[in-house]
Amino acid sequence: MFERKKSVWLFLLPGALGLLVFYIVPFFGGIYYSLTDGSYRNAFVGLQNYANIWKNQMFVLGLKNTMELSLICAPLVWVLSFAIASLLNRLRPKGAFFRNSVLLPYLMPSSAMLLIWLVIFDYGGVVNRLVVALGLQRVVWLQGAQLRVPVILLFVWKNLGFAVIIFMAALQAIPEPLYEYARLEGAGFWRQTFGITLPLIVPTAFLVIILEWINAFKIFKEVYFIGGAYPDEAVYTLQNYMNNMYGKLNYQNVTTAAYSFALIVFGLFGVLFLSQRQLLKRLT
Amino acid sequence: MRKLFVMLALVLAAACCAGALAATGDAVLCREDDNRVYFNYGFGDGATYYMVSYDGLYTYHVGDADVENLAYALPEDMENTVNFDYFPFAADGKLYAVRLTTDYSGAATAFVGAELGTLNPADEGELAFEKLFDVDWEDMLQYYDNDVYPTRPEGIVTTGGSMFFRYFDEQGECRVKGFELETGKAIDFDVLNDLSGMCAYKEGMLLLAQTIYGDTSETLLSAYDTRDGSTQLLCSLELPDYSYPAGLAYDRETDILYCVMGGEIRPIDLQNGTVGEGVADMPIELYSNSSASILEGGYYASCSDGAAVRNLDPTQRAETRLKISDTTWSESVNNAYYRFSNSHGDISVVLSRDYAEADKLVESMMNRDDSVDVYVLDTATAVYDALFSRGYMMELDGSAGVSELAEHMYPALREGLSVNGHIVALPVEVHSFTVGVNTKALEALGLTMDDVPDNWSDLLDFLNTLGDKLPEDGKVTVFYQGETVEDARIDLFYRIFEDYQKYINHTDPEIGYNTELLRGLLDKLEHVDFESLGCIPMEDFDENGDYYSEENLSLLDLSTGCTIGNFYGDYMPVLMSMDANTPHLLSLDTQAAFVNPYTRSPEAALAFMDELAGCLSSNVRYCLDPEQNEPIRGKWNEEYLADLEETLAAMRESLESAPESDRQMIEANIHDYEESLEYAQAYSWEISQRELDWYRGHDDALAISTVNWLYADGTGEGYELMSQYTDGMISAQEMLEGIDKKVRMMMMEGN
Repeated sequence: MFERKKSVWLFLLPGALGLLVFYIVPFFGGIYYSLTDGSYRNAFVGLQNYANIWKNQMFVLGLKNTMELSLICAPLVWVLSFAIASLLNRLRPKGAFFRNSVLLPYLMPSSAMLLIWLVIFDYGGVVNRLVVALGLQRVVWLQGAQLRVPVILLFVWKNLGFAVIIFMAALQAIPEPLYEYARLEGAGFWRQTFGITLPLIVPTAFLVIILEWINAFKIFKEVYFIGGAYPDEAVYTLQNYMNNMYGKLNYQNVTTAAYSFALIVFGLFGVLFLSQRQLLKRLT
Repeated sequence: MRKLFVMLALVLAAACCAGALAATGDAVLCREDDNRVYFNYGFGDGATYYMVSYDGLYTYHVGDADVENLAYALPEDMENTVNFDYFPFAADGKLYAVRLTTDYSGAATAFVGAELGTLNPADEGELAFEKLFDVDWEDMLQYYDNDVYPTRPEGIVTTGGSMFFRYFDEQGECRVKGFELETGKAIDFDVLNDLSGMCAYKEGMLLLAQTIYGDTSETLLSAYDTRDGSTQLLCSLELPDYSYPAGLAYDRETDILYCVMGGEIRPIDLQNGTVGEGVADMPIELYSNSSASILEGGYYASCSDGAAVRNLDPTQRAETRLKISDTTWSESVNNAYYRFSNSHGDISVVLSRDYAEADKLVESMMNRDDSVDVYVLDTATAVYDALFSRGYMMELDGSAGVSELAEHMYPALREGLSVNGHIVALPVEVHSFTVGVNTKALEALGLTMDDVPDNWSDLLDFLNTLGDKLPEDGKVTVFYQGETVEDARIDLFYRIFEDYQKYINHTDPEIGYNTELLRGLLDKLEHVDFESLGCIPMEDFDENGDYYSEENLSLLDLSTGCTIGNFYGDYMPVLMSMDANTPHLLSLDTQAAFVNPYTRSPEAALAFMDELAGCLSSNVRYCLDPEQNEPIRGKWNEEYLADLEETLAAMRESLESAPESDRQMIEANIHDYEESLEYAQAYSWEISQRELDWYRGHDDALAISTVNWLYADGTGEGYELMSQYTDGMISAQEMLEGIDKKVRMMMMEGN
């Protein structure tokens, strides 16, 4: 038994080493950077960097935009993916084509999708033709605050499929007799959804919202590709700020921004987990 | 035991003394303080190094202390209007020269001929030319209308009984040509693209270097055999970032090829195509076509910067190294470098002009790079701002010279160069430019300086009142003579924009560009009637037209110097604010030196900064120190004034006894000289009372120029938007919105 335990550590060693070198050491290294002044003396300044960064308008703007975009994108993806998963679940087993189609955007490279989006949302593109057909004025979608619309739609389009698959797996695990009993008792679609479906897929629902929220926090390359390092203020995200600071080799600001945001995210997800636990308790 | 201790002590003492000595033979020739001789090129022969200047041939015998200057003896039968240009060189112990003769007597300059001959000692201090052959120079002539000038040979090299040089033909192609010394027969080469240098090689061969510049430069080294005319590629050098090997010289004794790169003499490994570590520093600025020679173990080089000798034995190089990176080409740094180098034989000082070092400076500091000890940068760059704000500059309190200067400096300037109360940067050059008003033109228009507004808003209105005041004969214009409407508008736009940038940088960067103030100014600019101010519409402009006349006056110079020692002619600077409600600002464009906090030689670096503080030019010192108020006459001008006065006195004397037929001509000459004397007396000041009064009168507005955010990101988007506006492709509103969005965000992010 003792020998078995020793060999276990041996097999774990490469992974543990990788985790140590690429995650744990940088994590603590980053904390160290965020607590020093970045001068040639590298003096310890405590939380001064954190105090300074929260006074920086661009950091606050990036944070605000990141939160706003995530608050729009994540719930939107959640609602749409649940709806589509529910529909596809009803089409089983004939819905395979639609299932595969909805997953396709997730597999496409972002840069290729961006090019398509640039064409679609161009001033003379398909979207503006639709807008004109509806009797409205053309919109410059790729500049200014309007850029939020294509960015959000692109995010939704790209991430919908994966969420649908997760929801479908959860929906398929719900026993069919439950729905039969509910129908026999006279429950309609909405009653079944809120009474049976949603309560039974609470863990999955929370998983989807967390994953999509994490993905929404990472919205950057679409904005950068279209708007550059300094896009319109409405789409300037925290990633823009950190990317620009990294470009200027200001590691103090990069790490301080990252850890400040991490604290917010931990807090947010902490609230979500607690909510999930409470909800599960009430349902069971 | 006692004997052992004594011997040990002697050995230690010898070792210490050896460390304190400079490498044997190291010297800088013909450069004392700020004075230097401008050499065209140099060459060596045996134990003598020759340096060619415009005023003669300088010779230096190895081991001597002095340099001798020899002039070229004038031929007895030469005409006054004939000019001789000598291009000496040496071969096999003899001194030769190519002599080019031009005649200015006719209506047009005529080329008389080219000769190859020897230079022989004549009277004391002179060399007499003795012709051997006429040589063919027909394909090396330049034609300007009816004038014909001979092309000057560059980089003369002798090998295999022939002399070779390079020149540029009329099409701008670089060519090499040679002449056999025994027969005078010409040796022609095909066009050699990208030829960057050449030198004598072994066994009668000529070594040619061709450099293709780019992010990675490539230099091809080939050997041309003078015996059969064949060329063999020796190696290819891959060098970083627009680098090139300068001052190529081949040492026959050691079979090593040397070059100068990054301020150091380095050997080139022709087998592997690599450049080795530096064996000595090279204090003068050599270019790719600069010539160098190796004589008795020493590397000799000369150029417009002076001449220098360096020992090539790396074991003799001083252990303490000091490297200075200066891409601003500051004269103060140059002078400090020579003084420090000459007075500190135990320190090997290298002066580098590598732009790549400056570009990646922040990265170097993050990596604690100690390869460069002292940097010189423009304070308005993003790099300087990043280093200054993040504390990557060593405190200079340890330098007595800098501390003393800081004590006397204007407080506003000292604050701009200090971190936490400690001065960290030393200004080495300061400039500032503003609108200048020609006082004579103003007088001609019946106006005074009090009539000229000192803010842009009112000045733009004032311009529209000048049209009626300008004389019809065009003798007074508002802008430069022959300026087009478009050019005047663009020049004025950039001047206003630059002043606005300085205004927001020093007051509140968050004000941004898309403001009512700037929009208002640009709107006024668009309503200025430039044609009524003497500007020519583009459609009427003749590129070949001659619009300039010395008698005519231009009222405004949009970029006139306003720091002490930099005023221009009759123009009086007017410090402009944006409008009547904004403050005036005298923002000094500054180049500053600072010490790398990671330097391995902090004492040497501080000693250099000490020297630098003592080498600052007078105008820099006066701009920084309010207590310096004594006007200074230009030293060259004192001699010139004395010459003028002497000549005038002689002319007046000759007038008294001159015949009637010559009196008119002599009187006209006296009148011209009197005007010249009057002008020289007025403008011969290096630092004049007028400049002092103006500068001191505006010193409450002084500030050190800070980072220009518009250009900080290096993408050129700002320039692009401004060009689109000046070309009329976008409106002022669109331009300002485009610039504002990005620049405000950059400023608010910080560095």
